[in-house]
Amino acid sequence: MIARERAGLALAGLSGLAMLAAIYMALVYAPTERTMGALQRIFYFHVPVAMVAFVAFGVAFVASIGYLVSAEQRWDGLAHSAAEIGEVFASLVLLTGMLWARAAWNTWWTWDPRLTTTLVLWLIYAGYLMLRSSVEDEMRRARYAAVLGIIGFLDVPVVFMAIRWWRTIHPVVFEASGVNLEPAMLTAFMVAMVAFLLLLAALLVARVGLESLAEEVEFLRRRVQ
Amino acid sequence: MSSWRKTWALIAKDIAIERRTRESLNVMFVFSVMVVVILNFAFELRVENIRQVAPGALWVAFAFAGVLGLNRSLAREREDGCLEGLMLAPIDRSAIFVAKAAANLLFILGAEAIVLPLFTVLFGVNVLRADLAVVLLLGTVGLAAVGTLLAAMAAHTRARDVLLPILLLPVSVPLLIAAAKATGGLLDGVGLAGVAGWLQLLSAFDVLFVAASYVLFGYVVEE
Repeated sequence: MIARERAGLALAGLSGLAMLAAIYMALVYAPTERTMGALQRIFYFHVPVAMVAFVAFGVAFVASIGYLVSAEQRWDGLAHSAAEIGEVFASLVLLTGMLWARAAWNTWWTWDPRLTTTLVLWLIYAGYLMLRSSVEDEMRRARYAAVLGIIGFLDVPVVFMAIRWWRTIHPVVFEASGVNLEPAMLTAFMVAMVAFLLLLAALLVARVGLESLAEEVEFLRRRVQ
Repeated sequence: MSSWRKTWALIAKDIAIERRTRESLNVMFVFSVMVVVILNFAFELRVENIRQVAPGALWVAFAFAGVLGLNRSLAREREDGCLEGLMLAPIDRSAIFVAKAAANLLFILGAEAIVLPLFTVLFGVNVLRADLAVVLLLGTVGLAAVGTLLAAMAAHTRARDVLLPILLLPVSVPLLIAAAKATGGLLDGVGLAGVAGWLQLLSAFDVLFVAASYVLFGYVVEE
């Protein structure tokens, strides 16, 4: 318990420092983009947040498989925490994306593959959290959530493919052939990426800790009764 | 009994119930007609050529009606303690899944078959075409498979039936896009070869989610 708290604090401190560095890099260090100007600086937050949301859903997917294979409660706690944090990050992606789209494309929303995939993902994991809250039995809740955690994540590439064929206007910054980014911009981006990954780790540790505390409280409550 | 005969016995059970009550088919049929009528009213106001929205309207009707049918089918198993009985019987859980999914596929296809002529009349678009059957089959297989899995979960939650559309529709987004696009292509007369890409996407969705639902169903009904 103590070790986990210490790790959580260390991670939170590190992610705070990294976040300050990321803000400096994004707003001051990185050069101004030619066509979009200062507007493009939201990129250093929008894209890492999106990637971190996908990482979080990926963690929930792996933890869901872990739960079904082992039936250990801690996997379920991890899956729940990761899905919840992923949902928060997905909301942030949609919000920053809408702000950027409004300024760059003069519209709050476009049915572009990445935006739409994120929205569909957001809906799937909203369903995941609703499913969790409407099952009382712990074992059953964990099993159902794990099944949906797997189905939902398997859907991601299919959703993306379907919508990509459907339409696209999103700029492609990262291609298989290389990165379409100035070196200084790439540095700023990587710092932001690290900062948000650290934030994800800090939030996960805190959230999983909360989960196990809640379990302990439940256990003690039952013993008193 | 072999696994196939058990599966068939379970499908026959669902068909017998449906033949006597007509619960699912009636509800799905009336509901899809209602969706079609309401969409007609909704589009009529602004859309100049209603034929253009026909593929989307058709799949919205099928998806929503499918949700109702799936809910009914799995709620029936819960209400009469039928699923518990099945769990006690010496039947593989995967056989239960195959049977329920097949029965649901059959009923949804049945409802679609009755809606198509009415849709042709109401929308003035001829959807009674042989090549459309391929799209209907591929689209409904995926919907029935993942829908059976999710409906089995929804039936045992506090929110019950309300939860299924929230779980199923986002997951079915790629299926609905591909099905509506393929249907639109066929109505425009490009032929099956012209919509091969969408048919491949539908098939990929079907393979992935039939397999995943088959594997995961055992965990849903485990008690």
